[in-house]
Amino acid sequence: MPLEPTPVLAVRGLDVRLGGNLILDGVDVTLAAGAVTALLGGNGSGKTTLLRAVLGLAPHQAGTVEWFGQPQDKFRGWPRLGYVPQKAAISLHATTLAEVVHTGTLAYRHGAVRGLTTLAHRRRDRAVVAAALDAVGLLDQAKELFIHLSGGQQQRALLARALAQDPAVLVLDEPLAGVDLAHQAAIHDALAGFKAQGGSVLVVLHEVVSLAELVDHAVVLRGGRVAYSGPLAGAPDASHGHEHEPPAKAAGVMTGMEPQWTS
Amino acid sequence: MDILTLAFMQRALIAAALAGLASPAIGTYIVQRRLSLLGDGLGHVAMAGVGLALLTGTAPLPAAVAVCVAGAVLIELLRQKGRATGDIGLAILFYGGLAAGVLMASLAGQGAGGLQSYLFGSLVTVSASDLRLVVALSAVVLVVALGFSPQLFAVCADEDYARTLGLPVRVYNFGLVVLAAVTVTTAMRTVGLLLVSALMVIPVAAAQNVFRGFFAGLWGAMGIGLATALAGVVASYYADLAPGATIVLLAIAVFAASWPVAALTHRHVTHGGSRT
Repeated sequence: MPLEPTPVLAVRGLDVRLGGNLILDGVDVTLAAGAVTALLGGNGSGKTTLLRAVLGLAPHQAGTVEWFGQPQDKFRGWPRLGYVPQKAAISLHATTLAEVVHTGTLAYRHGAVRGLTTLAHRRRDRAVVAAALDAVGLLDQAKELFIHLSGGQQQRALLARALAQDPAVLVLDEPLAGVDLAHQAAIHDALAGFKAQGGSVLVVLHEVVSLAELVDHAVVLRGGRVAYSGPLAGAPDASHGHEHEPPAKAAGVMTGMEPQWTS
Repeated sequence: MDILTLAFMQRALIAAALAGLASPAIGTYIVQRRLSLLGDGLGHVAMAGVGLALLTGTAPLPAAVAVCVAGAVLIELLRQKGRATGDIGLAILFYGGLAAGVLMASLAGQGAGGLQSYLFGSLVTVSASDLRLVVALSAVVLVVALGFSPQLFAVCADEDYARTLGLPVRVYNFGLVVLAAVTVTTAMRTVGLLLVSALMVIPVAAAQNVFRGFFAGLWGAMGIGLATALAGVVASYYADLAPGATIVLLAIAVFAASWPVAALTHRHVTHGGSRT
């Protein structure tokens, strides 16, 4: 093989143990530059834990995580990774949408504690926040309180917060969960725009539906192991035939993504 | 206005103004983190410093600051370690601090009456050297609370996200509790250790009823804190009332008055959606 470009993310043989339970067991995942990799699998399959492990939020006991060819503990490019958690994991009161998104602009700042806020920061940040809100179609709601937004709007706001970082990579945890179709379309458009500009995306999905055409590579987790890695169309449960009958434990979990996949 | 010509009242007013600004500034972050009662626990711990100072015959304020900051670091270590043991650990630390303080004070020949000025505040006890320390420490608290507000907000609002940005979350967590400890002890002379927590929480709650957003609430809470602290000191001078209690009840009155405003704004949001 000639020189292969360094992948954005390379996970090899990852074991994660939480509270004595082996949650991830020898997981390999690769995210190529400019690609969208989807992590699929049922509840308890370990996909959210994998996301937290690659971000350094959960410790791993074996295996390696490399970002842009750098071992995780040596990697210094964290501000360029835009993390979009599930909206359900966030509880913010008395905070406006613009303030939530503004947090993302801290990624630009240098130094360990990111310095004192200056007037120059304020001017630049305001423009960045407006652009990020515009990208997810929430510019008109900038001054609304976060808790007064609908679930779909909150999820878009968390995406805008990551976009305000000017990220090279987006890491999303079930961005479509509990989000209605109109908001799913807005999230799709924002991600499509990000990918078109060369961005890479690692996304945990419970149902692929409205993002299917963006996905370049699918990894299906089952019981903490990689059950499938390849094109989305070939993933188990992708066809209606069920050639690869999943174990009973995981059987119900992928139903949400069946019908629209082939369309 | 003879009140402004009395040296002890000048010192009391300056100290109260600084407590009124710094307590809600730190309190805004503490409330966002859902640690509203942290200030109360720190007040208990600071009593150990006061008792130690009375026993050794040193100045109470520096001893209270030192002991309270040490207690704050211990509290944050317990919190980071985990919940179950941390909860009991906090209770032991808080009540152990208060009991040790009272015990040392009684060994030093001070009865419960002698501790009253530390627990509930007193206008006549702010010495010139106290005031210098209060001004210096309050300046540090305000510069950090306002200058690093985006970072502190990020850590309080969504700790995991702040960590993925590469922010030193542990440094900020420790910084916040240490600043809270400093604030509690600098407010000891005017508001008192048992009531200072009210000044960290109630102006914040009132401001969140009136102002929209975190940073508007931060400034609003500081304004409410400043106004109630100054008004409380003046009222307690003329009516011969306990200053700490007067300040806290004034803050509660402001909170009560802010309630209808919150009801109105909320109705506006649910009915109107977007404003035209």
